[in-house]
Amino acid sequence: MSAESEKAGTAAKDTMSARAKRAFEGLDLFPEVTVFAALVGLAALSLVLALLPLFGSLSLVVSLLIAGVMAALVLIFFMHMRRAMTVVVLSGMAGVVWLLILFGLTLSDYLTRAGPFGSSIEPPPAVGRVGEGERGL
Amino acid sequence: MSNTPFPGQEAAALPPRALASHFHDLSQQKAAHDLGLWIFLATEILFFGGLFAAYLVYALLHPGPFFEAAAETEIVIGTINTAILLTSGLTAALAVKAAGQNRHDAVLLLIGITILLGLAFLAAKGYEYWLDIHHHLYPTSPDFPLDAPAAKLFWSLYWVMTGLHAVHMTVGLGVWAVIWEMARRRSFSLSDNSRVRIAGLYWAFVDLMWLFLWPLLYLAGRAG
Amino acid sequence: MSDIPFRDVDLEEDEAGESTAEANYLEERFSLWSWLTTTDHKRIGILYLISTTFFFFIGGAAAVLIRLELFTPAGDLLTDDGYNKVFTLHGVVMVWFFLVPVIPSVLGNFLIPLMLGAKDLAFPKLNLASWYLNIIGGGFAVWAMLAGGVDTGWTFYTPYSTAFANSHVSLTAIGVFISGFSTIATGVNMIVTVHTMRPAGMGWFRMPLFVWAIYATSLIMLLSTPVLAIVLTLLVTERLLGLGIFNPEYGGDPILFQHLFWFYSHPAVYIMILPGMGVVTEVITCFARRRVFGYKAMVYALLAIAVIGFFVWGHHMFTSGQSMYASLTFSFLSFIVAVPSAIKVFNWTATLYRGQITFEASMLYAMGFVGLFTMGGLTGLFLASVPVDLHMHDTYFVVAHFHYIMVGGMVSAFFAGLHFWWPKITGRMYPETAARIAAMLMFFGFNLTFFPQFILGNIGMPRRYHAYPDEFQVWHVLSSAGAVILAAAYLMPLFYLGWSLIWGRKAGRNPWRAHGLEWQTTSPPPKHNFLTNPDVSGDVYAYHPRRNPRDE
Repeated sequence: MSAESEKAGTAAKDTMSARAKRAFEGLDLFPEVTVFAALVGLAALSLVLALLPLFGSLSLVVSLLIAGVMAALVLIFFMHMRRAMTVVVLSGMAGVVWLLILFGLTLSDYLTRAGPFGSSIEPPPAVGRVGEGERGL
Repeated sequence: MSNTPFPGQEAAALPPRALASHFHDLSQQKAAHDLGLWIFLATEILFFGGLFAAYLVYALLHPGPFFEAAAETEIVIGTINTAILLTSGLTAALAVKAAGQNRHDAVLLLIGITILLGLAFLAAKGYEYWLDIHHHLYPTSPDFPLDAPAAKLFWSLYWVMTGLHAVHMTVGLGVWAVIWEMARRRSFSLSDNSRVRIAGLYWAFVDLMWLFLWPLLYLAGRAG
Repeated sequence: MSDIPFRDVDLEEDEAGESTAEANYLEERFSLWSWLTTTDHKRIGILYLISTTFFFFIGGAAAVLIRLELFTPAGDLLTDDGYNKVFTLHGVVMVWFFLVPVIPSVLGNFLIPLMLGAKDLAFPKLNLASWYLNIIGGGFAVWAMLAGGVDTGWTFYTPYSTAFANSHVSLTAIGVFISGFSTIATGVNMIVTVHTMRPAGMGWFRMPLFVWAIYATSLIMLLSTPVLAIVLTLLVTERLLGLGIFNPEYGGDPILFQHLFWFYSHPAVYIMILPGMGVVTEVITCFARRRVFGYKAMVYALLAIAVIGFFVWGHHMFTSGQSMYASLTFSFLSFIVAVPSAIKVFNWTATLYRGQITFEASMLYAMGFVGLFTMGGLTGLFLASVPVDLHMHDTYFVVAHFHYIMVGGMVSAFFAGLHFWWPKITGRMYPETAARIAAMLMFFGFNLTFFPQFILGNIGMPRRYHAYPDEFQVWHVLSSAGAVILAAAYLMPLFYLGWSLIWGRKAGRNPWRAHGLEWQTTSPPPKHNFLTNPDVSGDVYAYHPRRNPRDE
């Protein structure tokens, strides 16, 4: 009896991991796994470059450029942008382009104010602010 | 309505169950779903983009104190979270692939792992928030550790940016959970129905946003 | 069948000829639950008609209070705070809960699938969700109003709204935020429908211009509304959580709020006007019996307005403290954006040339639109010039300018569309004489209300003030008198359109002998829009006085 139930128990365990194996059998893990490895590598690179004093004030730009490359990988391989309809690609691009419009024209104000990139705004003396607890919804 | 056969109509002549009655065929439906989601993602780019605009402006106006404040974020937790999210992006992409091949067990396993990784991300984030509060790193704290006023600008942006991202992740996890349950009950066709693919796209986008938040909030101001 | 038969289909023939297997969409099920859970785009259009009418009258009531207060120079009807709350309510409700949704979500919802020969929009359930989001957002705004109101102005400028206002800013902002989701849902639906559900044979340049207008509007909705959402989020988080993004004490810039706010709100005014332009094209071509002059130019003008409209937001900020170089850039671009609008006005005018013009009510409204929009648009050029704007900013000149466009233009266009498609939507004709009187009354009342405001602005009457020097009173009295007439003109349709639902003459399939696929189906349409596949082979504006005359 116990031998049988033991055999049944082992068979059950085999079935579960066998099921997991069968679930993935024939599922082509590429290119997703390769892209994942590349993403992890790029993230590591970004981390290292950010910690080293190599780029000075440009280090954030470098990190963002690497992020851009990682984003491109995600877009192309995880989000299938290559085989997407033209209008889909245009939609994604429109989001980015419009963001650049927002950045660009907003910066046309901030970069041309008095002083080097400076805002001529001085913090005002704190007068008559409504206390936080007093302000309702 | 479109799936009820007329008397004498062959079952094979029925349109697929996944096809909504106002579309002609599955390819039109899939095109509509894809375009709809991508347009929505474009709106999300602009939604987060407003925050990036604020970051850009203040980083240019007050670079010193802004990046000094950035060095106070929990880089270890942030980087671990990046790794978690990248992995969940992999499992989600594989889940979409498996769904396209009607692999029921693989889909359940992969979505399950994605959900677990997402929960791990949120747990780490929660712990990180606890640490941040413990270090008084919120602008209204009387013990805010940095002197320069603009440091509070960075830390205001940090809370809003990561908070908004966490909200999006939570929504994504909710969507995955619902889909997982429906897939478990086999209530929809994995390959005909768009939902796994659409959820995968949304999740990849949330991943994408984090790929930009991580350098802006965690890697900035660390050089040297 | 390459021509719409112009023989007016007789009532008996209609009933006998059409299959009775399918009831029209109104008769299909009567319960309230069937209406509240509908995914039929036509019913959702009606739901939106009810809610936008409701919000229109709330905003209108606020306007009545404003004009009553301004009748006399002293601020005697309302307190200062009370007046601030009233004009804020007027702006918030009229912009977000009336003007933005009215044509896209009422007429657009109803007509886009019909004009494309489709059974519904691409995402019917999302469509219903958008209505619920709209009324939930509106509910928040009404809740804020009933709880004591908000006094920041519809523009929520910082630092007043974040640090000093003691009114229900967050509640209102949340309501507007939620309605933004409604807008985005509508925009997604419209764009996907136009891209994926056009019938075979209807290429892009064979679509009616109303569809193009809704498409261009949806582009703007999708690209601008998210930025409104984020700026309102930042406003609420600063107010409630102290995350001071705009706080000058932290080195933050209140003007950044204005940049982000107007990045949405300027394109928003194009969201509000483009659909009206689409309606006007449909109405003018039909009642002048002419194809539209310069179809492609009209398309490109719509798209140009949509795109260039994103480059001009800083013209709201000339006096804010933004850099002078930015102001010059925005000023130049603002002059450019007027060009495509002007092209459209020229083309409408040219469409009328050598037409067989008749003056049905919708035609009166449409022609009113062309004139009033032109006036409003031209005065926008005054304001685009930085030196003039430095003098005119925050005066009644600006108020008159945008009311000429929004009310003289957009509301007229909405009434034009409502009357034009009323037979299709309800199956009933409205009483034409009453409608014409209302249209003319509206035109007269509108001008009497708002033209004096140009003069007021020029002589120095500031905006958002309820007490003013005695010498301004004569103009305010004229304006308030006009408002009474305008109010009457807006109430009239409520009565005669309501009357027509029960006692109106039954409309045939195509009472105006108009073109467009929507006129090929019954009035009202059946639930799935068409009983037989519509014929798309005809020219989209196959009107011509000689070849397709009005009478047989």
